[in-house]
Amino acid sequence: MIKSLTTAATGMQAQQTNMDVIANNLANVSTTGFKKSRAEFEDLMYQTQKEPGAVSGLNSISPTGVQTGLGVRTASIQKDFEIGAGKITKNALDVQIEGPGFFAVQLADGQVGYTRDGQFKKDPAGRIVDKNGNALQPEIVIPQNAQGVDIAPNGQVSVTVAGSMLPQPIGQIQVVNFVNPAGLRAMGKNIFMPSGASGLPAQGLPGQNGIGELAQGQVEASNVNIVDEMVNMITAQRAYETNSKVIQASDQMLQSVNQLR
Amino acid sequence: MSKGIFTAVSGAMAQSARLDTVANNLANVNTPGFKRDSQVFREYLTSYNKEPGTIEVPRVPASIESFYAMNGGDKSYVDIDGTSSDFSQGTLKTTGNTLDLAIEGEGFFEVATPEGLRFTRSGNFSVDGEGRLVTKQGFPVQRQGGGEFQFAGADVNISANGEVFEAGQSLGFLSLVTVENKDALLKQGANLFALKENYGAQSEPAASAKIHQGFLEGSNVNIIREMTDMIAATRTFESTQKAIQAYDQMNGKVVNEVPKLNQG
Repeated sequence: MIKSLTTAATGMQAQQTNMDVIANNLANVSTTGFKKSRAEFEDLMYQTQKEPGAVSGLNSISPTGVQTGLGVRTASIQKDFEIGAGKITKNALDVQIEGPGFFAVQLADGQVGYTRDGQFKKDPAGRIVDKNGNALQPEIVIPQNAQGVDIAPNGQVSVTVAGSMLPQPIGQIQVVNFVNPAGLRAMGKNIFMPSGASGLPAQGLPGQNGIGELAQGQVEASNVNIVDEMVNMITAQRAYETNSKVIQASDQMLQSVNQLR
Repeated sequence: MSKGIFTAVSGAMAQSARLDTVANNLANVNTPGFKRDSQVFREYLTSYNKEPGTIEVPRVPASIESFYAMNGGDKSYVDIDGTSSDFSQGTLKTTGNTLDLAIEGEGFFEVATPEGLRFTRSGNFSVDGEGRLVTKQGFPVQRQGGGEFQFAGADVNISANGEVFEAGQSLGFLSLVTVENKDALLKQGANLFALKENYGAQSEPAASAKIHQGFLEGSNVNIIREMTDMIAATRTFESTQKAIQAYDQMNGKVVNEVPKLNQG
């Protein structure tokens, strides 16, 4: 009796987590380079009241056994690294990786973080930095007299300088890939950090070894699909309601027990 | 005291177990590859517990005399006979994830856990830090003929018959197995099934299984059915409570009224 109460409570908690994840996806529907998450569930342990094959009478054994499941838990919240749609901005320092890969940026605490958000800026020293001022690794400095910046699909960055006919190469954007991007730890601010599950970062050049090429003047939109999220939200809410009904039913049964005397 | 009160109690306990199962089904309404359970009840005669010599279950039309010989073996209770899982197909939900696999038809994925091989229908796999294809708990998914899948990080394609390709190169087939007698499967939690030891059942290749890449099999719990079951369980439970109350009132009469008759 008490079992069904707690079982239904695990169901409500799971749907609550589901809703939290959906809410975060929808909140980031226009965040550049955002990757949606998905809550995944698995059934909890089973309590065995009667072992299969136990003797159930003089000459009979129980063929199936009696098992009661104790509910559900969140197995994982998985990031989905599906490529988001490209959004043309015509901004010279907006870069999209058109395929797998991450930009490496140096964070304020000295560590290297990884991002797919390619909305870069220039800092006062001319370095290419992300929105939070973290410098792109390896550092690329745009000279002060540069008039235009050109980023080739292979990551080559060149500038045109006044008085010179030919563009001058000033550096190469490198892209990092992981064996299992879904294992990366999201740190917020569009930054991911490697974890034991993601594998070690593998340096590479755009367009090589399965890493995507770069596209200048466009950014990667969030890969959240509103229709999917809305459908998931409806299922989550209804499943939540259903589990609350089980709690009511258990309560009703306990109430009738209490009315025995 | 009348012993019948315990028959009503056994009914109440059975309905409570039924609600526990309904609660678990409903809690797992969004668990991929979950299969709903149901409890099966049976009549349980106390005479089964007695030695064959002590008691004779009447094999002739019952008479008053035949019951005297039963020594309390005449009570029948309700008992949970077994838990059975319903292995019908769950609905396929599209996710677009390369490593989400759904099985259409009979069959299970085989995964290697530290305790041995286990079966699952929850195909939300991922790649671990070493490039292996694993379940959400990190157990490697098995290849036909044994072994694991090792990916280098290129595009993965999985055909309907379970052949895994990375960048156009075949890495072998997914091990898809089934068990002839589904009663031989024991739920272990975490979406895993094991073989019951005393069945001697063997897994065999699942010939009819079809893989859908980018899909997940939803839970096969039907909310309407579970809600109806839940209503039935609560109401039956209430009826058994009424029976308990009726027995209580009868006992009350025996204790309070019968002595008065004697005095009168």
